[in-house]
Amino acid sequence: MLKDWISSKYLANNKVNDFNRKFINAKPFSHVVLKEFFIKNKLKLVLNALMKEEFTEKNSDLYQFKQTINDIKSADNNLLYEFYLFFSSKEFLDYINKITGIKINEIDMSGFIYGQSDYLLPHDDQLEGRKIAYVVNLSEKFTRKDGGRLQFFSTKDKKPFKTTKSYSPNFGNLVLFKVSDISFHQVEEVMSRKERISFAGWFHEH
Amino acid sequence: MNIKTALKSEILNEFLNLDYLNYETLTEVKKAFAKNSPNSIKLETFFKKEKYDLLLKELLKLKFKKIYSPEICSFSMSIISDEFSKLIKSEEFISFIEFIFDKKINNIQSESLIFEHKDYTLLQDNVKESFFEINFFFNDWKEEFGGYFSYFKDEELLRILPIHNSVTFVHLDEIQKFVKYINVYSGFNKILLVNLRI
Repeated sequence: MLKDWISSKYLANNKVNDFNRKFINAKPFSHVVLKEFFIKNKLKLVLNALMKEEFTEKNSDLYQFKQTINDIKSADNNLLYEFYLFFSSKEFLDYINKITGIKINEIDMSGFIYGQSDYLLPHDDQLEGRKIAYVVNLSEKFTRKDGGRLQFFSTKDKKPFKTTKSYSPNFGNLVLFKVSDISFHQVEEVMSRKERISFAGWFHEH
Repeated sequence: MNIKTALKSEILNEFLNLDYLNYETLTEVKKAFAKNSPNSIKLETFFKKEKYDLLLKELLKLKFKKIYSPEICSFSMSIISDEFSKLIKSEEFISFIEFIFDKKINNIQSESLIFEHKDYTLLQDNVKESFFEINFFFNDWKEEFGGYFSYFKDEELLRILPIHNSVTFVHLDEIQKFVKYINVYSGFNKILLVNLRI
């Protein structure tokens, strides 16, 4: 199943060990960005399917964006559901486990659209059972001027201090980071008229 | 100090729109404050025109310092100008506020604030305080910029948009406030205000 969805360059055994080292040693907390991780043409079809789903506006002190009304696991569209099945399969969870060294057995998944002026302010994502946060980027390359970067904070006394890593979205990237009491991150406001589209959620252990 | 004496005082007559120095009008303000949920009132054209212009000019001369605690807030802060201080330290103005709030005031904390693009404040968990807040605004603002003041208890109870020369009185009783993130549409616009906390 993995080879149906993941670029072949990510399936070599020694690669997985490299990514494991990168993940563990990353600063300011464990994370890795796997560029062009998915098979491009297939992911494009998934994106098309996602854009037909129903989104709702989410708005609070902490954020402003659009999110799919339902978790992708209840998607009616076959291809979207297949993507969910792949992402939640034992095989893929084992693969993620090899990269992160973290035990997981469940996922959740929503689709997100950040339009111009949408954002997500600093928070740590901590909630019972959440082990690894992930983002699958589905929009074409963002430049720095477009905003929309995923940014990680260094911490002082377990409080976020300043952003030390910023990742611009690019189609097909998979971002993984370990959820902990120091995993403070934000999604920078989208400044341009581009849309930042993604799947995101968590790998859990229950 | 007796409110009627305060309303006739030189200092209030020097600063405030005379409409608000009418005892009957102010009694209506007091009633409206108590009736609104949460207890709150907004008064427009609060200062006399010349005084407003002067207060704004003094406000713009202050040196502001950026306050950034990513999980809490981002804004710029300063002390208040001498001119503003003269008003809020006066017995007469304290009596004016006491009358609206129907409460004896012991201590006022004051600061000048600027909110601009990328600034915000976030709701904090488990904060249950009771205090009164007064905000004097020095510019107009559009809701699409973000930056509105949202008073919140499980849901939004009150939303305030800055209007130049307006003042809002709010009682935060187990209510929290946040300032919505100011987005790219704001351009170079800034929210300027003086905040009093009682």
